[in-house]
Amino acid sequence: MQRLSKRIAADISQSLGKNQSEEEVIAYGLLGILQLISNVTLTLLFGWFFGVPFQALLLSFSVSMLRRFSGGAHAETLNLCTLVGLLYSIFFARFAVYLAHSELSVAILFGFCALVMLAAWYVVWARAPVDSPQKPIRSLEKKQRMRKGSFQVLIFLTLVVIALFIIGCNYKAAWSYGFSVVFGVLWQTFSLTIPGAKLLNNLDKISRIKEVKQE
Amino acid sequence: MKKFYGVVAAVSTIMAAMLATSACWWFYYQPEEPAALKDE
Repeated sequence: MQRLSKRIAADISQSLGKNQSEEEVIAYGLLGILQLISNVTLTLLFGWFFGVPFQALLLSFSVSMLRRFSGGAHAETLNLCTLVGLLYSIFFARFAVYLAHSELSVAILFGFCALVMLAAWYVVWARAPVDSPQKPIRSLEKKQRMRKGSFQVLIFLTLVVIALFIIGCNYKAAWSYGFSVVFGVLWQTFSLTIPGAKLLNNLDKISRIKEVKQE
Repeated sequence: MKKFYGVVAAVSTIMAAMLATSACWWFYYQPEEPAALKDE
């Protein structure tokens, strides 16, 4: 995908007479668009196969919304990134549907959600924004803006979860969407922590060993 | 074709600017940011 975006950007730059710096920006944006399209398509496709297309998409969007401001751990390869995101979205969207129709008491289910949201608030307060070597956040002004944005997104997602649980009292399927948002927040919160970074780092190491073996 | 390329370039540049103002990419992969967009 990276090669494709660079090739298209090179064609565009040659045709429009753009310089090297503009070409790099176009390739960067193009990669973002291609990644967005491929992630949404794969999530919908596999989600449809497992009977949870919209729950998986909602979960994925919840992660992305919070991630935009809070940052977090990254996979070093694009394929691993896609695989991790896809597996998590589908598995936990399926689990969200299971929980919504389970016989577990409402107090346990809502208690779990409240606990996740409270943990998210604490982790975001303690750690956000978490930057990466590929995209360091140097200015204090941007750090403060990202922190503020993280809290605004958390407020929004908390309200969405509450609204979905209220709707779910009459229309139980709405609970599966509520749990999907909660699982999205849980994963993104985990990626802000040191164990979350270590997990992705270890997955990276495994994927690199496999690549070497294949060569 | 030039018009089409122009539209793709404009949309890609807007996307790049949106990504540059974020803390990181929206998914789990973060490529090296172009020098022109770096937060120095």
